[in-house]
Amino acid sequence: MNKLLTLLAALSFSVLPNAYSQVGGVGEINSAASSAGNPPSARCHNCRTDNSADADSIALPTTRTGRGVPYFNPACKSFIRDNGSYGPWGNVIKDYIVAKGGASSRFFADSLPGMESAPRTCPNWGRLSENEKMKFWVWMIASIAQVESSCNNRSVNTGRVPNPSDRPRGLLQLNTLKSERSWRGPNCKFPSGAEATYNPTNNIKCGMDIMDELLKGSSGEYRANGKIFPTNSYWEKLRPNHSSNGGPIGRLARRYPPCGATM
Amino acid sequence: MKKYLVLLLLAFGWSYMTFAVDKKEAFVEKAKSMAGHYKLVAGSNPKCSDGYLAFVGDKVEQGLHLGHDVFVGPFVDTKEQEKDYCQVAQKISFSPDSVTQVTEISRCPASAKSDESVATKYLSFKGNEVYFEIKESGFKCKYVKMAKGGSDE
Repeated sequence: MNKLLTLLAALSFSVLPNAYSQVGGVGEINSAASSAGNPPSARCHNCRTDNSADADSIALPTTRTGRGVPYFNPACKSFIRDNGSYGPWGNVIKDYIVAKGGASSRFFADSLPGMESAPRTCPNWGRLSENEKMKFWVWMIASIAQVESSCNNRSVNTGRVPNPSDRPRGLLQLNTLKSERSWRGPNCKFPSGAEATYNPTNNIKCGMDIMDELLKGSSGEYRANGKIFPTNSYWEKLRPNHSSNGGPIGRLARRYPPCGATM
Repeated sequence: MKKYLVLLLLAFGWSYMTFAVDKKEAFVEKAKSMAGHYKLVAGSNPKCSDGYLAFVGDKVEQGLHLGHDVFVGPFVDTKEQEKDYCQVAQKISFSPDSVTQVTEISRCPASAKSDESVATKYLSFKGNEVYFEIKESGFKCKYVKMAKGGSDE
């Protein structure tokens, strides 16, 4: 027993002084530890992971849980069902992003402005798995559809609109006339008319073209800032003169649990 | 006599077309020189917002846009009966510093009768300013070119 204690004492004198000598004392160790930030986690930043189970069960909140807490109309379940699986509208978004390159598309870029930086739309963006990022986009477009149309794909703005010959229609309230929207993207060239614009697939794919152009930032058609919001977007509520944090759309988007955003 | 009349008509037609083409070319040149970031200085609607003025994809014939809600184009007259919808007719005319586009929606099926309407868009340049209007709705936006670069925020 004595031998063991002697050995331990010898080891502690031979190892610890070396450790201290590199950082210069306990104070500096504490200082170095605190400046190093959070300890490494299994979910490192900017990793390309595919933890498929992470996002699978996440569903849209469609019931009121508290005063001032935003929630989705049950019609939005065509984006994400109660069991967390994608509905038909969610699948349109997923297929669009996959066709754009999936994990290597700009929709998944770790450097997307405004996610981890102001206005911190999704503070955990760099730590999300690919499945979580995919679901973020479905959640995001559902948030726009909720505010624009209450997820009613046959919604038409019958109020005072800038161009009465081209009333906004459908989930994302897009132009009825082909000539007014075809410039917005290749998926915006579907025929003029109420029924064609109400069609959720047409509407969502054109909306994704608009979002894709926004994310291109200064190299895109709109020479935007690359953020979802605040930016001079097609959707008025996302504009800087409306709100700095996306307004009602931003509040819904921030409810996506993996992002860890605060409202 | 008839020959002279025909020749006279042809001459008039030719000079009218040349004049129209000249006006379009002058407008296009003007628009190219005006490309850049613009700041909203007056507007009748929240839809008016800052934006970048450019030809769509830098292709003149597709039209000109300033941000998302100010758009004039494509630069060609059209008249089409859309399937299950209305007849959509668009007519475009130019002056050296302005463009006017008239869109007429007519012959709609009963389900879309309320879409029948006319919209007259007018976009003009004056100095370093852009003015846009849709006459029937009173939608008006006035922009001034930003000195350099510009920002979206």
